[in-house]
Amino acid sequence: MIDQIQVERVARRRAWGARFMAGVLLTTAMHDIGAIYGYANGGFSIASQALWVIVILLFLLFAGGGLVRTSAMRAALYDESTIEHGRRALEFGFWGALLACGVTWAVSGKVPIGGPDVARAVVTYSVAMALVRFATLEMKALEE
Amino acid sequence: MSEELVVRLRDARAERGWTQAELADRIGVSRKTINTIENGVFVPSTVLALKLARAFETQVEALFGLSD
Repeated sequence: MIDQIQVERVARRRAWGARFMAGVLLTTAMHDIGAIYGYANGGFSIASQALWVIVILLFLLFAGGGLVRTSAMRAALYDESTIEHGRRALEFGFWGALLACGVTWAVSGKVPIGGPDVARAVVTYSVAMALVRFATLEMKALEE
Repeated sequence: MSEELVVRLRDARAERGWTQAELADRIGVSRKTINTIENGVFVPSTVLALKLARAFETQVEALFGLSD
């Protein structure tokens, strides 16, 4: 027997976690890029990276059931609709990466941007878009 | 020619008086998977379609079909 209420609770938490991670990712990246180009102080960078690593580890460990759920519960948490939502989210993230490439290319004509900053902007934007898309699909499926 | 998938899962479930959660429990998936299949948002794999048919003790064609 699978506790469906528990599965929904964890799935909902995972969707909110994905949104939160997207927010943290975008906020820290924008802050750090601002610091690089002199729009903000640079003291936040190392702390933000450490926070980001902790958030990702906690998310990976607990959002999908981690080590504390039964195998049946973990299977229900990563069932076909979840995998499909993940696939669609990755596809969305791919288009986000292309869009970010276009935007950074356009901006680079006005402001000099280094290669690492371009890479970070593309990765940040595409991953954030994928996370938000995944969260949106999951929440919609849970609430209909 | 545009053939679309017709999903009769909701009707079959209603006939049995099962909730989405009960059906999900029987085949080991989450309720949202049943919900997305019933709403036509997600097309299940062959394996999942066969599991659904087995739960209802029927053929896959009784649950899924193609529109004419």
